[in-house]
Amino acid sequence: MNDDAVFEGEIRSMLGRRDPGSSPAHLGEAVVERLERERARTGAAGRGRLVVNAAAGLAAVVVLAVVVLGRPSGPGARPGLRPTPSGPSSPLFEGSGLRSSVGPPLLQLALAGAALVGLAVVAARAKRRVVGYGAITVILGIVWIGSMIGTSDALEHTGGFGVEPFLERPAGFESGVFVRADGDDEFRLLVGITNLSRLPLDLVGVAPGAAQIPDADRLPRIVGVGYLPDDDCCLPSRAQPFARLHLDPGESIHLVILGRAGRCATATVEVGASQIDSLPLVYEQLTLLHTAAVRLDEPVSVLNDGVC
Amino acid sequence: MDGLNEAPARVWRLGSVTGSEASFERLVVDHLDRAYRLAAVILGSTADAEEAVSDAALLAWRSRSGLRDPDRFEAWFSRIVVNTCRDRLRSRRRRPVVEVLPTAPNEATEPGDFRELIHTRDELARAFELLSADDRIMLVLRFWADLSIESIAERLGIPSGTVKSRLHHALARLRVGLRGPEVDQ
Repeated sequence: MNDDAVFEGEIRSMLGRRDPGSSPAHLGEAVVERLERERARTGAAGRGRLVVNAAAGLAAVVVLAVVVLGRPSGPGARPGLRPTPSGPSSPLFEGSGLRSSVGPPLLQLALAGAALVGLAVVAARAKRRVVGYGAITVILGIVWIGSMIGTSDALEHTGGFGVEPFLERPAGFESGVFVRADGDDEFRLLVGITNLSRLPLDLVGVAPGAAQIPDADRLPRIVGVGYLPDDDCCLPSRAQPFARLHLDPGESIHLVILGRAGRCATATVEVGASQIDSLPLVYEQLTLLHTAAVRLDEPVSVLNDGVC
Repeated sequence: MDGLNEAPARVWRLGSVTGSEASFERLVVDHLDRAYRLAAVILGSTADAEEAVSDAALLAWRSRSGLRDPDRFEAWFSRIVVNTCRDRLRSRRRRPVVEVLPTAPNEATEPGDFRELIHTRDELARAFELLSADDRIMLVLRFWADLSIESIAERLGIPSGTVKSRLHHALARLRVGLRGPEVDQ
């Protein structure tokens, strides 16, 4: 037997002498009592957690239902329906489709935040993996959807573009399309709009914008909006009065914007010009209202005499 | 040697461990003896061992959802016991505890070796007490519990190579402690 073996034998012997043998009877009783206390404590806490989890889960479901399904009711608010054309002779009238610009959807953001917190609680406390994974999946879904809505990128100007009455570009101007108007004449813009997001949306109107500022009638401004039916492109005179327009992802529509040139407008005196370079379109996605400044291919200019 | 790897006398297995709190509690109780002995050998104190096992049982109860395979209970629970002992040893460094352990009678039988044997025993026990918590645990699992390198690695959650290395160093430090501080230079 070598030194190592002897040494290890001595260690075994020394450790064996430290072994007290069977545990005392009171140890088992003490452990059982302690576990029973813990079980009673965690049982009560667990029932509390169960109630909290259930409440959080229910709140999350309710909030999601409200956000996803709780669309506004009323005329023109039903989802998935295009407005029925009222006939080719329907005039595009002033005030059609005007909609106030909207701020951030604070209520929906608060509800979505509450849903995320509730789901996070459920995910953290779930004892069953499937529940935890389900909650995490829903959280990721909300974040994914939230990242896609509420951006101006959802709408883009594509396709047709034109003005009526049209004015040849005056000398001295290098770009833009021009409106032939005197005084506060009406003019119309034809603008193709496409839903570029991965979610459907509803166009609900156009924000009048400049109408809110003092002396607004001096400047060109938007006073109404309509649309062209699918088979009727490029004739603004056939515009239908506006109603909520549903656009699936990738779907396009031609809008006809009714404008007033402002009392300073002139088709002959080339002193100055006012421009419209974007359209403040209001749209709704998953009940959330947004205003998108949709940039036009070229600015629309209205000439003015500069002294008005 | 009465090691941890010897067959358990009785193991309660009524249904799933994680599915039944009562059966889990029973399982803990059935392993108390070996857990207590392991803790006592590591800690060198029966009072400390009782407290350590009680704490370990509670920790095991709280983390019972982490036990997926009932057949792994013994290894899983002894790992908790070892960790609890390690914590107690480390905290004890700040407040030394001395306990006189009972010695096995009549182990030295050869005439003439008795005094030397007693001397070596005392020195070895003293040197063992001076080891770090990790060294002690390594030696106890290897030479008292008679666990293989792989089993120790599994219980401690470290690679086998690390176990070999730590075991080697623990033995070396024990030898150094046995020879006295002058050898240490």
